[in-house]
Amino acid sequence: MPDDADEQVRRLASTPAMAEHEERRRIARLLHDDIQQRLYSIQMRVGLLRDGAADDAQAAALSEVHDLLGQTIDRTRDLSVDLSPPILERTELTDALGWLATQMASMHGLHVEVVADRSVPIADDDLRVLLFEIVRELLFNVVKHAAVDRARVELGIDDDQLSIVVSDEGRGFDPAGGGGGQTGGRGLSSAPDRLARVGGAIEIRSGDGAGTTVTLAVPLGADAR
Amino acid sequence: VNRTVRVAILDDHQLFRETIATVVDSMPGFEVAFTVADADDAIAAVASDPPDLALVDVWLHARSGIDVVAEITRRWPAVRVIVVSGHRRRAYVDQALAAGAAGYVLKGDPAELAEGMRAALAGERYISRAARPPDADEPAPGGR
Repeated sequence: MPDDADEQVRRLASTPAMAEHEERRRIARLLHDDIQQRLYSIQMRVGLLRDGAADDAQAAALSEVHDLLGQTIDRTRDLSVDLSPPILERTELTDALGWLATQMASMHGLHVEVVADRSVPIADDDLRVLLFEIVRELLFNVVKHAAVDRARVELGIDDDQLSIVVSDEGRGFDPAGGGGGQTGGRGLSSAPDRLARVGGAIEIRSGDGAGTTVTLAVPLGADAR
Repeated sequence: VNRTVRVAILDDHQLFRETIATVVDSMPGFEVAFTVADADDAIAAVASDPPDLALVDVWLHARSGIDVVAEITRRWPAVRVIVVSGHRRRAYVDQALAAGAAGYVLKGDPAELAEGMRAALAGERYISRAARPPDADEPAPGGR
């Protein structure tokens, strides 16, 4: 039963990613369904006080509190979406990466070009989340370490093998040097192991001043057909 | 003689329902008809005691508030409906209006809510300033 065994291994390997994803989703829902509604309630009650203020100075002070609450609600909304992007519910990986590119540009000033010569549907939720999280961490590391404002994510499928190449022309690093750098970020130290357990691999090419290219390779199995 | 406008509040968060009720109670000529938290209770309550105006959240627990708007406006066309939401996305505004809502008001500002309620009763369409195009879209699908 090699297919069943492969499936079991894949599921076990991605369990940490899915457990983390589920926890993120739970917190995102709590933020939206309860915390934001409480903040809206406070904001509306402050608005009532503002509208009935005794004088202009009091109205101005309450208006400022009202606006600050609005900014706080916006922050919780951004956090909620960042924790659990609703677009990850879709099977198409390029949709999620396209959304990620928009987020990286608006929140971090990193312009990401996503290139795919065909759609990349991944029905396996665990694998889709795993790949998304790794690409996100790679892009965060470009923001933190590469000193550039551009990066590229290229997807390709060849013989049921998905490759995702994340590259930049930044200052690079010595991959043999260890400690920090563009692959030392949060969540990435475990990326090689997690990819290996689903039959995948990660390859890093970089050098001082030479930019960085990280290639993820994963067998898609039934997803690619 | 102008009679009191009766307002139904449909929202799945208790504190927010209470807050909207406080806003309605603060408006001369308006009173709260009833408040409900989920879609089935909402339809049953409207059927037994149709209000003049219904304020409906985009989501009522797991069910779409937009569907509730469509059912209310179809079965009780005299009831004016306003969607009250935290979502600025244009898609939600379009869906609400297509379902028959007279207005789309963002949560947070009682003055805007009062303005929207009065506009709806006057037969006008009202959309919160921050939910109007061209920059109304949030950075991502809002989910719930």
